[in-house]
Amino acid sequence: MIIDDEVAAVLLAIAIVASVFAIAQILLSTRVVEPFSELGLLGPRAKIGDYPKEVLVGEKFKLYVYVGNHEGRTTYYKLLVKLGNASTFVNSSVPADAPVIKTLEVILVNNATWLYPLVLSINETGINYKLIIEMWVYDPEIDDFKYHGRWVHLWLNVTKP
Amino acid sequence: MNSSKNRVIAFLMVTALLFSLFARLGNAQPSAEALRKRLIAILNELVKIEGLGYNVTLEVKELNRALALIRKYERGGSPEYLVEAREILSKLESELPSLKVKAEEEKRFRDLMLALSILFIFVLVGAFTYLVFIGIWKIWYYIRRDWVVVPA
Repeated sequence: MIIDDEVAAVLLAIAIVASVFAIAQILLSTRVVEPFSELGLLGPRAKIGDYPKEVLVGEKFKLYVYVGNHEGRTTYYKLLVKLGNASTFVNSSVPADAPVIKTLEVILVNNATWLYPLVLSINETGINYKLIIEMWVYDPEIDDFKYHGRWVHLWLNVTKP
Repeated sequence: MNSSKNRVIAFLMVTALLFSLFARLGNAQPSAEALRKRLIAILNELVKIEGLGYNVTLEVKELNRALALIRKYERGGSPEYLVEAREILSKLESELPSLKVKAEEEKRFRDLMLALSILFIFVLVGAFTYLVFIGIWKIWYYIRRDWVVVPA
């Protein structure tokens, strides 16, 4: 079969565009433009919403913690669950100065996510408890964990049964 | 004669005792802190291997298993957890050199394929240019169609 010049030119043009697109995909797939990590707190059904607001002293309640790694490399995360109050300060550069009630650790490869059921109970009554979850990551340069500037919090009132 | 026989027996007994002692030390209870250090060292190596483009998902899964066992022990669990974690980490440590070699080989192959693909595109562009733009001389000719050659 003889392909005339016009048809060959069109086929070549398609092949060139497809090849350039494929190579661009290969080159761009390994490039991380803006590395970031995700931290989320989900309700007892692993969905956003239905968060507990009032819990009884000693009563177990369930939440889900969600972590996503988009740092472009395998990352070792440590999540500190802290229990503070209305005056506990936390922001993206300052971790909360509150007691740690639970620690979670996980190592995630790039683009992996982790959903963990967190069962907690609080043994003291009080209002406006601030349940804080902070994300810390292992930094090989300092050979220790450092605060990653990500945190979530939940307001809770703890009452007597 | 008897005393030299006794000496040989004593020597053998001491040797056997030392062997059993070393054997016990070899299986001694690992500390959680030491295992965490080993885990970090393995993680750092895996990050380097991952940097070469190798998929370390399976190895990280094993690392997480070891981490979970260490944490179980730290929360008051059985020392058996540490022994199991040590076995996982030892296995990973032994696999690291071959993983590194494999990752480097795969990277070389990928780089070669990429270079060949780019070369292929250049060949396609060349063929395309030949087919489409070969008639460009006709334009040159068309522009000069009215030119008149004047004798000097």
